[in-house]
Amino acid sequence: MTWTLGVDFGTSNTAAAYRVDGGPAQAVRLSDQAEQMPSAVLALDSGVMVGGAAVRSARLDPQRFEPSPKRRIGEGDILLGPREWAVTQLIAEVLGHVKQKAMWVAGGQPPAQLVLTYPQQWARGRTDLLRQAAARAGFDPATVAMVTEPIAAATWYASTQPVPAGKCVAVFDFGGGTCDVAVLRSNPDVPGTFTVLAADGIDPLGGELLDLRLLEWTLEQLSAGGNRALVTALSAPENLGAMLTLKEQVRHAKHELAEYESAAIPVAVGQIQTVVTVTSAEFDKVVGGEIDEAVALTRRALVASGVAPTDLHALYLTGGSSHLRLVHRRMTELLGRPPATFNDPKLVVAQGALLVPQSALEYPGQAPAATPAPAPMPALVPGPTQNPAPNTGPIGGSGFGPGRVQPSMPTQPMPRPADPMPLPGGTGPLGQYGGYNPSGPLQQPPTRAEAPRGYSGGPGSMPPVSGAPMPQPPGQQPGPAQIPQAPPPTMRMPSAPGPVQGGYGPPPGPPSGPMSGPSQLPGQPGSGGDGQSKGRPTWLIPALAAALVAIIASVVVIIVKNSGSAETVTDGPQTSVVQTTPSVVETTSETLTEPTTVESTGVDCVVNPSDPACEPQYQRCPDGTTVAPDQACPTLSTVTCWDGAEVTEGDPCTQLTGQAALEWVFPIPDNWTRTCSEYTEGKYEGELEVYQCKVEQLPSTLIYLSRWDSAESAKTKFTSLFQEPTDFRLENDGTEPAAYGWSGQEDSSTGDGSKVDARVVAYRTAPFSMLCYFADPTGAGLDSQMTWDTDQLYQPPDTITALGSIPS
Amino acid sequence: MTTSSSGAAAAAGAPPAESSLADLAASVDELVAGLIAAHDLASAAGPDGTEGGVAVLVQLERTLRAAGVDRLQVAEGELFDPAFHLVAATEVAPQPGQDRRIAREVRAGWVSAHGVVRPAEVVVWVG
Repeated sequence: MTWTLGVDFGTSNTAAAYRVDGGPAQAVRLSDQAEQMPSAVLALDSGVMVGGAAVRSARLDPQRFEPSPKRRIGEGDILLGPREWAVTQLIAEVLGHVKQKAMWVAGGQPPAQLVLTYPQQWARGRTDLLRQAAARAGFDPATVAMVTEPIAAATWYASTQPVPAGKCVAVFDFGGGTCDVAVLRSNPDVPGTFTVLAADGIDPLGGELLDLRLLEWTLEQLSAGGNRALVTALSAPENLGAMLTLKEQVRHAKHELAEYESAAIPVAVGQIQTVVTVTSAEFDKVVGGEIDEAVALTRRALVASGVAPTDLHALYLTGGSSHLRLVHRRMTELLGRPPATFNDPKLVVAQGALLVPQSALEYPGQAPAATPAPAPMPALVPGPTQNPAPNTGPIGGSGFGPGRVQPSMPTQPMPRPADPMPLPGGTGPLGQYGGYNPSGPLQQPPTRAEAPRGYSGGPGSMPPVSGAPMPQPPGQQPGPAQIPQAPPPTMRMPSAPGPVQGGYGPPPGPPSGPMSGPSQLPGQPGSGGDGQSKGRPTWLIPALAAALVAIIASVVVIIVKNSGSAETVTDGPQTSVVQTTPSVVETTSETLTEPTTVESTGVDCVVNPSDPACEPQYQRCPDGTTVAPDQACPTLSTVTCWDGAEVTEGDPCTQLTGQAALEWVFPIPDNWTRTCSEYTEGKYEGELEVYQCKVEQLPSTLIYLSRWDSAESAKTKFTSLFQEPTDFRLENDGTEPAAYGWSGQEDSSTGDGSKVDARVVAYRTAPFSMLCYFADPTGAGLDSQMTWDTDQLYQPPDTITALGSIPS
Repeated sequence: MTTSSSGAAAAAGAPPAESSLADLAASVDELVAGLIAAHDLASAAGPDGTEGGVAVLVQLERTLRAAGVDRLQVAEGELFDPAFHLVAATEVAPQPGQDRRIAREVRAGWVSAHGVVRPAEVVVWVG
């Protein structure tokens, strides 16, 4: 038996498929929760942890964590924690984990061939590095073939829906973190092969960003509906679980809206429970900007390819976010007919890689596949060999784009770099999995390990995942450093064996973690399972459905009972719950004016309400905290807004707009004099307000203060103009960026060869930026630049959240 | 716990079609995810679940257990294990020797015979 392995090493996630003796390409299940695994690594002194285990531990060692080694492939060695690591070694660790998992399901022998996919934009140097990583992972270099991601995806589609020779198709992959578009032509002389005519992408743009938008909208609705106290409570550290649950509910609502006209988002924190309903129209408005970006990306790719939309044989929509109805509508408008859709795109690149004809694969020594009509590509991976992309030449005319005024002296309008490229690169504002930031509820939810990425698409029905008992990999035992803690002796072991996710996990065998108790299950591996997805028994459907109905009924009963006077709900003789205020489904902040007492004792407090055991043990306060019954709840204090107005803590101030607001966001020392005026020469895309300022104490300096439609727009723009930002300021424990910084140098418009230094700062979560130009950087401008690093340069983000009412 | 089979195919002694099994498994996964989400909401209604209705929590856990999904037991002071836990936040350890030990559980974790359904989300002491 011979088998081949296809690996889609993605920016966020990695997927793999295997094929035995020319049979169907089947998924290799790389983690417990999904076929994919995160591509993340955590470089510890004891070794490199990969996948889900790395993501789950990231918060403990954030300096050692790299969520996307692929993005850094051009950097050679990167600093993770106290030492540098070769990127190829980090990638090799991920590939090694995939290899181990694949050998478990494919018989324990190395594959006869490994097909690695890579982005269309990669040059030879990077593909060679990927090959080196494969070799470090133990693959025979002579057996490593490569193919680009869009070709692998298109090959998969062609295997399900044949594409006539010479016809063109487009693949639109709108996933969790990125949006990629490629236009390909089916080669007339070599059936089954494709040539990429154009490929383009936006990173980040995907489901995670849409989730963030809907979360922000939900919180706004809560505040506007009189539930500001609930929003405040959600940001409290003790309610972290409630916030994580809300983020999941928001994501579920987004999925529901692909099929229904409205979706309910239940929110529960302490005594407060409410439901926010979002309609399809409201959702379309919330995410319309992102969808427009995705459609514009598709249009640009088509233009670059020279293929008219009406000439496409098919446009395939893939990726979880492509299911949105607004996406379908916009694409239908673009094409003049409905696009084709696929269900699960996560594996099709890896599966398609195994179906690419041998003649179309690249082997060692071969150059990457030529692209006859390549479109201009944004750099995917910033590295030392890549130059940032600011406009380095004098700019004539006016406006922020090409032709914006390029001043040579501080007294003249100063330059703002022109758009060097239609598409920015860069990473997004999205926090890593496990993200928790006590500064406010608007912090981005963690990146879920299952977030899709890359160039992919999927068929309506996936080949079945092997659920058969996995053979023990011969000689594939991890070293001691990879064996997790043994469970405490008091913990019972599960009754059924199964692999545990993550590079630090044990080999196939019993999950060695703590469990509340074993369950004898039908369908377990080794116990007559059905061999399909998860081997769950068929009887579970009616059983679970009945249980769910019973639970819903019990919840309704509890709510109805609690809607009157004090009630007791008992569960056996040991537990009772007494609520002195009614439970509510819909509530307002007024509900919180009285603390709630809660008790959990062995006494039925309805029968014996005077029993001392029924005395409350603590009380819940309006701000979501709990205090002893004899203590007073903290009173809600007032805060002073940016404009001098005072409001109750938690309530929003007047929106931050106008020159005064921006001057508040970017303050200067009291003894300085700043003069600002509205800049009317032009705006960047997404820029809502711009003010040009001069400071008397900062000679040879011009400052542009801007308000954007989103923090992401600012970051995207400046990343496209300069390069990947640095963390300008860190908050809390010094691990989370509060703001991003960019720097660059440009030619002055004087034509005398003099330079102008540019410095930019933009918030991570608030839509404001400051762009400074320092002329005469070796003279008077140098002194001005020395002030750049003052800690008084701008307001802390949490201050803005509390005082400034960030506009949506 | 006893097991039973249902459905016309099973009754006829014929194995269900591949796609039907896949659909069935997906439906079970959805139901399990829904039960876990209900558990999260009930837990969010109170620091220890009491305000959300402890009876509901107990019933949810019982139902999940019947479906082969057990709640991970997490104890304060237990060593963090990335195979079963996810660090949702960190706090400075109150005493020496508590580095990388669990301060508290934020959201319940779940495990089945096939692996971790969802890791327990925890606050971990550092330092």
